[in-house]
Amino acid sequence: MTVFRIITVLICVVTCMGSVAAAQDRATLQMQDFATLPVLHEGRVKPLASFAAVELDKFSARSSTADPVSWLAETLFNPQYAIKRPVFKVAHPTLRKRLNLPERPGKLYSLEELALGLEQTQQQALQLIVSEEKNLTPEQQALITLHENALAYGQLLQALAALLPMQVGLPESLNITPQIYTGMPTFLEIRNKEKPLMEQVKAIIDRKGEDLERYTAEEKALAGLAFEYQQISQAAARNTLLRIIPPQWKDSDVWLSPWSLLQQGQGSPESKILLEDWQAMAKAYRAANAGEWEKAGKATFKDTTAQSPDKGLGARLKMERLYNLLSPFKLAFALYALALLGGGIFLWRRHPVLYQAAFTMLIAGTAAHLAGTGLRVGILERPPVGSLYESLLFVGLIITLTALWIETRRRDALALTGAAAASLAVLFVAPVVAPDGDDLEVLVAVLNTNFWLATHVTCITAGYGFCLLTSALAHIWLLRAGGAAQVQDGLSRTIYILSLAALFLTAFGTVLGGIWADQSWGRFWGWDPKENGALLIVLWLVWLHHGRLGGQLGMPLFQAGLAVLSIIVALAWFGVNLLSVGLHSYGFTSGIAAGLAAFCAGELALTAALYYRVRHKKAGSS
Amino acid sequence: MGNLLKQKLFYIANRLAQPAVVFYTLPALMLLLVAGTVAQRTMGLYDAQHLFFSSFILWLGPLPLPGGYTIIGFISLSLLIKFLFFSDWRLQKAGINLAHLGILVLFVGGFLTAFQAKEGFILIPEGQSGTMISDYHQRELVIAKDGMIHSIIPHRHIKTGAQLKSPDLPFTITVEQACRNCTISRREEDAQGVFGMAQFMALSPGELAKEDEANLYGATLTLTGTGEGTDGTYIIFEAMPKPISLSIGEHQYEIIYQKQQRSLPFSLKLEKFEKGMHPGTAMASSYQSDIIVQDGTLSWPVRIEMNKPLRYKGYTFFQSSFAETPGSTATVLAVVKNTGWVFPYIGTALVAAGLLLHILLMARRRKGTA
Repeated sequence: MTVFRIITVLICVVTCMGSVAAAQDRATLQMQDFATLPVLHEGRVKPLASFAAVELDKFSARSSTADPVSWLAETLFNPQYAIKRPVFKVAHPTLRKRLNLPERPGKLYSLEELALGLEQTQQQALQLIVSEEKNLTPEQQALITLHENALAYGQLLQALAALLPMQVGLPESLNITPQIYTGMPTFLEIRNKEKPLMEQVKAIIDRKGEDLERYTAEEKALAGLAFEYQQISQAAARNTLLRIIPPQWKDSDVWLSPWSLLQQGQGSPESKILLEDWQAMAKAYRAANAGEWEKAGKATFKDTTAQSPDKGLGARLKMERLYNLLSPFKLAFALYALALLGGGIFLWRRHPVLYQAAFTMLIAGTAAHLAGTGLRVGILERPPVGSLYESLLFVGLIITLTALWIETRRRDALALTGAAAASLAVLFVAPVVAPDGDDLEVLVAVLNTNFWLATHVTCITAGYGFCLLTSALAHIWLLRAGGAAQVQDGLSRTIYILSLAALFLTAFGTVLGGIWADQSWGRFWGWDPKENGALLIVLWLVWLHHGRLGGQLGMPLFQAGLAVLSIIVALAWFGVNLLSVGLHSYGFTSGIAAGLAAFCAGELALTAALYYRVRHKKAGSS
Repeated sequence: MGNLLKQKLFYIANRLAQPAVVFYTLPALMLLLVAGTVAQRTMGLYDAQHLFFSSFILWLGPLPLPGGYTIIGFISLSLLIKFLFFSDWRLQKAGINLAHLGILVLFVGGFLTAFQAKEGFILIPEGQSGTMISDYHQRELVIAKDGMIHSIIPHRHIKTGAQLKSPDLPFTITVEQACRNCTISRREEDAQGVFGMAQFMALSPGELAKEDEANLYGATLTLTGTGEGTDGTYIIFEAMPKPISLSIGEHQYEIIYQKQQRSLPFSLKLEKFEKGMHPGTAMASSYQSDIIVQDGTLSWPVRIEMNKPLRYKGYTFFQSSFAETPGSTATVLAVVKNTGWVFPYIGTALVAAGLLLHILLMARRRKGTA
């Protein structure tokens, strides 16, 4: 049996699951406890809600509007309904035609609709999967992805099949009395009688051959049950996606799926308790019994976290739920937008209420931002920056935190407005570079060191933040210097100190990076693109400061140089990533490259325009 | 006359010590940095580094431009003069002076590293000892006579058209085609006058890999003077499973192409290599090698981990990679011999302390004047 046959078998198996008696609306069930239950996924134990969101996003290419948690519950506990839910995105038109799919908005299809097409294309998919990714057409790529998704979904549909009722005739000779569901046994209940069942069926076949016509009703029931039983058992082989059972052996940190527990004989008295908990959840869900469902959910959470070797797990799961529910960075984005609006209007029409409103918005936004960052640190148990995405989040935070500090001293809305704009831009870019799926990622070995993440990475990203704030304020300086009234309020002095701090952080961060490289690769400096990018920022700042000191750069030019610091930072931050990417991610990065080029060009044009306005005014007044 | 010279010298030194020097040379360095970084996309890191940064002159066609060594050397000289003779030693400038000193220390370390550091790697299978370091970049053609090394020819001499001969070798090697990243293909044409592995395969130059160590160096050779029936075309490439082997008279000759080998003055035995994984994934979270260092009659255990190297007798060993074959695991350690390794640590501390002090002094002055 090929791997892909599983889909067809699976649909048979799933449709054989007993249907639900109660037609009551399951929407009344509280999903809170279920959503918080732990699962090991992509190297990290996370709440089911995060798991559900990643998986549903993967299948539907982020286009499903279903609630991920309800979807997952139905998939696990009520698979025969779940196969009818349209969750698979088939975006490629030719592929849709090939799979005989009806056209509809959203391009989402159910596993049932796809089953026939998947079976017909399985041979081709098997051949394609071994060929190199870059040699595939987009349609072939889409076909492989669809097959892979269907397989993963199949694992979910089957994940708890051992706990669900089977719609089969029960042979009297086996003496099985279903205890959990009326009239219908579960896989586990039959498993207790596996030996007599198989022996009897073998005896029948030995006696009468495989022709069902010659069987008695009792014999038919035995053969039918044995067939069903084996089908489920086989389809569940290698069903490891839903790892909800804590490690069963000392010193192991690998969580197990129910099926690997059952099939690899890794059970223990502890794991039996958990299976019973899940059994109770399945029963309550199917009966839409809100009271039992809540009780079972709480019991499962309590027992699972108690059995986990990681004692802080319960707290971290709750933190992650809070993180998911709050969406702190979206909240911060909205508040910064309001702060920018308020600050902008205040600079134009100086009304103290506007100032207070904008300031409050910035504080609230920074608080949300800080809370989000803190929650991530708590959940991942590591310093805040370990990926490109996280560096953006952190830089945004540094910008607004620093601006708040400046604002309490200056109280003129300049730092506030500049920081709100810069941080908005950074948070706007963040989702673009966020990894597919879970953005709370585990790290590769070389990065898996809290000391260097906390020192070098934090230092250099804080440096980026200071650079961007400096750049934003330099824009404001140029804007004001080109305006009508001359103000002497020490803005240039603030910018000067900020740029020195930026120089300190980027220079120190860069050399710390060298020391890290010396510790892990044996060379302090290797002219690697990332290193060169960081050095470029340092050199640019050193150059501006020496030019200012030596008198070659006048104040307007100095400020213009600081304003385009944003370009240098963007190039060092993202530009170097574009240099080292392979061909296969071309589509993704070409979008980023175009965005980066547009940003650089726009920023350069803006700064040039502001600078010439200042020059023009000077020339006019002299 | 002496006075005039002194004045002239003072004038030049004074000019060199001006911030203007930095102002006018840094743009060149920044341009070089950007060009050298962008060039890595097409020519790979190693070649770009040698062309742009580890060079005195960068030839842009017929136009000589200053290379990385020249520019950084000039800035270092200017900074040294400024630091020694023209520094302002008031407290107000203490931070700047400290930072400048730190940068000088970094430059000294950089030049020391550039001119004497040697990098390589050592592969040790579990349960075995290793003493030979392979260079990452330098390859060599080794000719062995009766099991003893007869001559070693560095890869820079293995060029298309080159003739390699020695008075006490009975044969001459002509390099038909050298390739820095050979593509191996099946030999299509008739295998007449073709020997060894060349009977089955042919080499052609392929696109260079981004990292030089990933390139497969090799060459198609013609051997003459080996005798009737063995003169003809051969191929040779790195890590070729069977070397070119010749029997001439009563002597046995072997030709090998390999990464340059250096031996350690002590040996390392790999007891155990361990790989930590993120649970339930194929993604490594850590690597570690348990090693026994054997030096003369002394031996002691050490553990080398990611970010935790072993330093001994001027050599530093880093956990770099590993190789898994069925039934056996080998660790790959990067080996660096660099007498200048400590400079960046001192330089970093000085630069950081200097810049921080400067910011504090500036901020204090701001308060003072406000």
